Amino acid sequence: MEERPGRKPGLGGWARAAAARLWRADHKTVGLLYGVTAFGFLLTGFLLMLLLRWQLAHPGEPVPGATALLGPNNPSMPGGVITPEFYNSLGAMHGTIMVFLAVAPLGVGAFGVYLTPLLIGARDMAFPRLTRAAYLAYLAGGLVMLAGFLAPGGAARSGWTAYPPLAVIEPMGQTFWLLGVLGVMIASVLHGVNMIATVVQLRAPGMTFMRMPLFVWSQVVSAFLLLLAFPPLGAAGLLQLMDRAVGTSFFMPSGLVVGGDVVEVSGGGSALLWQHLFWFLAHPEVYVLILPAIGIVAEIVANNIRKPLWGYRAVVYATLFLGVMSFLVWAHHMYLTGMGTAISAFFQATTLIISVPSIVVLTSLLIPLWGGAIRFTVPMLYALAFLPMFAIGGLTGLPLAFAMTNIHLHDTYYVIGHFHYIVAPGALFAFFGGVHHWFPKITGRKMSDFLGKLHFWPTLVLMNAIFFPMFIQGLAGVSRRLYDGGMTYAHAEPVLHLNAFMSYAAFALAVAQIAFVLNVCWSVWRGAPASANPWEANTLEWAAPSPPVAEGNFTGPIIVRRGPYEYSPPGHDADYLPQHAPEIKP
Amino acid sequence: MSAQAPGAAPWPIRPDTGMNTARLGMWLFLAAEAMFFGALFSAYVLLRTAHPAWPQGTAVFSPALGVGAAAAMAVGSLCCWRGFRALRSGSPTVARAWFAAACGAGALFLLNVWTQHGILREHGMSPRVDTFLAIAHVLAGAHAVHAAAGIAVLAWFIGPGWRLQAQTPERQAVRLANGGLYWHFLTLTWFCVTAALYA
Repeated sequence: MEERPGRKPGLGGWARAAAARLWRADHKTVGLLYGVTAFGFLLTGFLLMLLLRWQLAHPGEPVPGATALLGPNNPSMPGGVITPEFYNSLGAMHGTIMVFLAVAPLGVGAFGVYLTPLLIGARDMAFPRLTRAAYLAYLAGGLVMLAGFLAPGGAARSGWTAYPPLAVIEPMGQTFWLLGVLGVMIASVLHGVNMIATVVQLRAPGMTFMRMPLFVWSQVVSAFLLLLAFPPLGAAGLLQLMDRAVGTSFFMPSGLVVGGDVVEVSGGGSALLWQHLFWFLAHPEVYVLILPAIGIVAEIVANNIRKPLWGYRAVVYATLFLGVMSFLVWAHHMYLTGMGTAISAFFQATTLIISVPSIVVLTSLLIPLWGGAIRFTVPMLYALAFLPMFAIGGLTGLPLAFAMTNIHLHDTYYVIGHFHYIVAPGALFAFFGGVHHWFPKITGRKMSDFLGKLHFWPTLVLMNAIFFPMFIQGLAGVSRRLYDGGMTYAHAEPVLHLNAFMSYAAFALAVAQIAFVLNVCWSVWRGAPASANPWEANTLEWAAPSPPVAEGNFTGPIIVRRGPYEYSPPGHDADYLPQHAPEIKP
Repeated sequence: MSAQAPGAAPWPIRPDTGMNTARLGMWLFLAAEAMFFGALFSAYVLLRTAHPAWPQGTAVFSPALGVGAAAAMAVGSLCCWRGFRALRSGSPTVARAWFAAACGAGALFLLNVWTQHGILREHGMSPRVDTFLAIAHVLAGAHAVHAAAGIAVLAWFIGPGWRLQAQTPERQAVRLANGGLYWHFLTLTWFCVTAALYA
């Protein structure tokens, strides 16, 4: 409705205007919506983890303030003490939220949807209404999953892997989990179609595939993984829903006894079938978490070393190879299921093979640091920290890849430490760096360097304080998912004191995040104004104004004339040469 | 995007990739659909190999209805193919008639599946009975839901959505052709479902 001139719009007018703004299907609006939503889920998952860590540091003791907040008779926390069932819900939902609703949507949704069209010189995504539909499916799936906390018996509590038969006999929350996963699957497929079509079809003139920034390559490969790996989990989710709602036995073996009673199902199903279908998605999903992060780090590193990236083509081929191989390693999560030595040997071999392209990518980001005129900007600090953190996460995966050593380490805290190094100081550091790097483009203002460093250093130290002791506990044989953190096991005794250390590091990490939140909020309004290309970068997003033009991103036609990393070109005064800049005249 | 030469596909194609964006989008979507049904067929194989006495499908399902369902899908596919040819030869009205016939064949298919389901229910053969009936219901049910959605969308294209023909005929052509592509996929999948359940 049009407002009368000279009169301020009322609350209804503002609400309508805000709703119209949020309903826009353009990639920048939806990208920001992804960012805000995924950050909200990230905080939610983080808060669940803080509760978990309290229980591990002080088993059986009431959580401070819980009774005041929830009352003394809350069924999940009677007297403020976390029940074992609620502890399981916290673990399952922390993992699910972080993987499906926070880290992946940040990488492919927030960064991918906002930046990819800009980086290839496109006006928008190929199918704008699909962009919005994917976001809405993701949002709906996430909210349904969270609504499980309100269901009788609480939220899902069979781990983020939802292994049957346990998941089939769990209360209602698991159904919410499955419906939520179906929502996320729909979002992933729609996003995959949209992203691949965008990159293939909407590149600006001159933007050949081998001139695309590595960030774009990482998004394309991630999109293929989402497109092809998520549907099998959707199918598996459908089968588990049938087992729960209709009483089929896809995953229910014959003669199953629960609590002394035989479960009344026809049986004949296979619990391992779920594991195969689940990990067929979930391993490629790991690469969906990390590939966008690698893409972000590649852009930041290239921009801050002021020289060409080493081995661009090698990184492109390695990324493609990673994508293909990620479909062939899933059963390394299942060595202990008794699937046979021949199959274990196959997956052991493929898992070792996939480490080769990972090393190629990491090496290509490390080598160009040598001899570079490195700018230690805040984004670069995050990118530089990402490299060793990702390396620790990756290299500690090798003992897990071997079926023999896996027997000892399987389901211990070692595994938790390994994958958290990949996704926490790994992927999240890349995202923090990415926010600092592209914030000027999105808002037209720069973030505070001081607050950036105040966030970076404590976060780096504290994340290591949380996750490194997990390797020590895991090597000592401490299992994951223990309600009391291992108190009842004699072998855990020598490393039990680390629980409190990790927990207090986690609480401190929560405090350290205040600097980041403050920085974002303050910089949006008060940050120093940024030019269109404040980092003197080559890629196309910096050819657009800051922020980009609402309709179409760019002020004029874009023609690409060179690759993305031609920094310090010979015969050119400036140490950068944008992809769209005219040819240098001799 | 540049306009295509006369006689070629009636929609714009990007010269360096040789593809139309909406067509590419449909092929990608079909790849995801193939993975979805592929996972269900994988489940079928694993359950079948683990089953002590997998029943003979012809003893459980009506062979006549099975042939009828496959024929309805095949006829629908044929109609879509003729509609696609009419689009390429620049006869949108003829194409519309062929796609309408495809929708009719689809309705017959759904009626067939519903009848088969009713017969099973009458005889107490619910998906709870064993893994054979469970996977049969899921394969046929998932396919029927996909078919119903496809028919509804195609019917909308040739019904209320036909006004696009006057505005942007190339968009109407590409979405009709995509509808046909989806139909072919469903026909192929149904042949696999039939083979899996009756063999």
